[in-house]
Amino acid sequence: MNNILLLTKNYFKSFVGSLGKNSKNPKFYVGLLICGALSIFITLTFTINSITTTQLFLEMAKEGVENAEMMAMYTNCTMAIIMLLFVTIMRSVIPSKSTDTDALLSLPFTKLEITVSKSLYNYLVDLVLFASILLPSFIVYCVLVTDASFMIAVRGTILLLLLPLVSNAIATFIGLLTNKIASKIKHYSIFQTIITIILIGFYLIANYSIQGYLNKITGTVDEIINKIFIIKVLLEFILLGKLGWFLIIALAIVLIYTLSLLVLRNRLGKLEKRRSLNKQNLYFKQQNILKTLIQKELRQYFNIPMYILNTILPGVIYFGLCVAICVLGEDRALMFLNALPNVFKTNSDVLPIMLLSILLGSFVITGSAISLEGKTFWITISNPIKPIVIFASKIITNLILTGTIVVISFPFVLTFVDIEYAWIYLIVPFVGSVMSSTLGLFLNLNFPKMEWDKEEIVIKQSLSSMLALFLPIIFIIFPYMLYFSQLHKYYNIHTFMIFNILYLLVITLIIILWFVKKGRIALIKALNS
Amino acid sequence: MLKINNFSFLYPNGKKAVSNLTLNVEKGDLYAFIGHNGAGKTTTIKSIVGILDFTDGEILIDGMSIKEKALECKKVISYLPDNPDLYNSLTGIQYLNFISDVFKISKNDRKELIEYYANEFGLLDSLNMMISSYSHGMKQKLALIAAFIHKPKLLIMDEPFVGLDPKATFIVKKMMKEFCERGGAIFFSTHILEVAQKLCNKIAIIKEGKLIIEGKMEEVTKELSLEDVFMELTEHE
Repeated sequence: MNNILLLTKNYFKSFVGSLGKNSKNPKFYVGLLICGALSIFITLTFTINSITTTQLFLEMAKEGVENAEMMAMYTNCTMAIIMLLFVTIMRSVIPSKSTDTDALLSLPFTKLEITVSKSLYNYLVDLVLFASILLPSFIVYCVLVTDASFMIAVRGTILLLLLPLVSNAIATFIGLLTNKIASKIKHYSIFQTIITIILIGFYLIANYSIQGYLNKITGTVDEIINKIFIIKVLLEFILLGKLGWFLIIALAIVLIYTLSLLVLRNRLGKLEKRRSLNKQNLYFKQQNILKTLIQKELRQYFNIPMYILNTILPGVIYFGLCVAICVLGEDRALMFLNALPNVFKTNSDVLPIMLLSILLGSFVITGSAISLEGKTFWITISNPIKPIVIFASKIITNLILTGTIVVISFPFVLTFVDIEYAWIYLIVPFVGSVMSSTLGLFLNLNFPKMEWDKEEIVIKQSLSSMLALFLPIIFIIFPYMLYFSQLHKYYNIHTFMIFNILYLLVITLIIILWFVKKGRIALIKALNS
Repeated sequence: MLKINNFSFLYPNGKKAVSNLTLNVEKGDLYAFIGHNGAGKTTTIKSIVGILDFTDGEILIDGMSIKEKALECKKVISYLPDNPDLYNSLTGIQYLNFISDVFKISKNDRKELIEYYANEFGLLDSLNMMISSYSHGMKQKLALIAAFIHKPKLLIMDEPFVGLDPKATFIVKKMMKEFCERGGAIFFSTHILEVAQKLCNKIAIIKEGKLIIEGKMEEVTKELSLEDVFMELTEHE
């Protein structure tokens, strides 16, 4: 048991350590601060959302709708199921084999201790995620609903304790299955990448379908609650303390989780079979250095499922949103915009383009592109390659990906946009992406993390990748905020968009000038950081 | 071919890694750079190839300063690091094509050179495999092929024999000799003193960042073995 706790503690220490080199480095505290601020922001957002929802149903109860307050808990339970789906998918696409396994197996730990400690770490990480989003809603329910017992929050917590077991167990089986299939396929990593994209796509469709199905259910509160079996069981357990079916489901979850642990334990230390590629003809081709660097970047991107997982989602949503607006119409696909203030609704022509710009601007792979070179950086530095060419290759790679999304989405855009606005949809999000990918690279050069053993550390946990996720969005949103607050009175959409493009290009140009003047030194500093 | 004049390197914490190093590698020289772990060998080598920025002293490659004409210098050198971390997402052949593109080697030339060196090292059948599946020795061989294919004037190698099997070690030694006989120059660090003594015509020994002896191999060792000389110099200096 001591060994399990020791190893689990070590995983947490590695996570915290990955934010910065050491606690004396100011960047370490910036990393911690951003992590803390993000957690607080998420919890606060969901708490406020929960208060609003509960109050809404309490108002309905006051107006005479029978058991309306139960709908607040119904919302919590549906959110738990959607979150469970999300966490499971995210866990499934993370490669199951850790790089530290070999080292741990050579130390005096049993296979079970190694398996359980890693699983416990994953469990606790998921638990924090579930708790930060769902626990406030259970507490809010107890506080706001008259006569609600404190036991509701306790039973809600029991549900929270079970959810990470489900996500980890299912993810283990999906991961093992995809590994098994991938080992028989020529391009192992590319197959993993395709699986990643399919799973993310599956989540988006499932999420949309569940929400759509729930919205369609009508009738009295009791009828709505009884419609879906699992939600009925959860509600009866949390609100009324009925054990029955809940106990059976809980036992099944524990059993499946234990089984997943045993399967993982048995696979530990076994070599994975891979299809051999060595009997093919060698391929020789001379090409321009920029092109060859871009190819290298693209190969790297599509060979690291973690890289794709953490960056591609906005791109998939961009495409999905264009298809959804095309199929369902703007009113239904962008229903969530109804909650926005009137000034947004009266300028609704600008809203979709703002949304698409934010999505494409969030698809930033350059935020960790320098760090990902890690120990291989000696290759580009010791060879005669101009730093500006290295930078260009990373930015262009990002733009090839975002540009592809813009182009494949454009035919759908044309179905819901007047032809005079079409140029905006083609150019504005892309120019936003030019700015965000350039800014991402700038951030990575200034906050590099060259020493790592797992890509996850730079892609998910480094300061530059976190900043690259938020800063570009702030720059992209800024002119729209000006437009909605004042500029819409003076300028039409076309004029505003021209200003917007110029604004984004000026930011890009400033950063490019910085690359030209200080890029080489920053690159060498990054390498030796 | 390589001139290092009064080169010093300070770590960010103020500690001096290398102090006033001066040495000269001529065309045809096979130059061994010897020292304890942490003596400053890798720091010197990384500065020569432009990975580390330095402020004190001067490093000239083929008459050009690495600080002022970094790109021109890098065109005539090849570098082999102590731990050849290569792009795991590429196959061996993709990596060699990448390096060939950097040096603008034509399709026919690269085909001929890659096939020749890969055959010598017994790596030809593995070139279509992902580098991530290579062993340390295979990566070392691949990095060596990449270092030789663009026909550099100066080869800078940090521990080139680590991880190589006996046959590959023999081939590398043969290739190094032939390279220098053709007018190239090699500056390399090693801990294998027997190899250095048999292979090299010049040697420099560094201790705690300071050069303690430099010159022709026979003048430095005289009648003794290099191991005896090294032990005596590093123990008593």
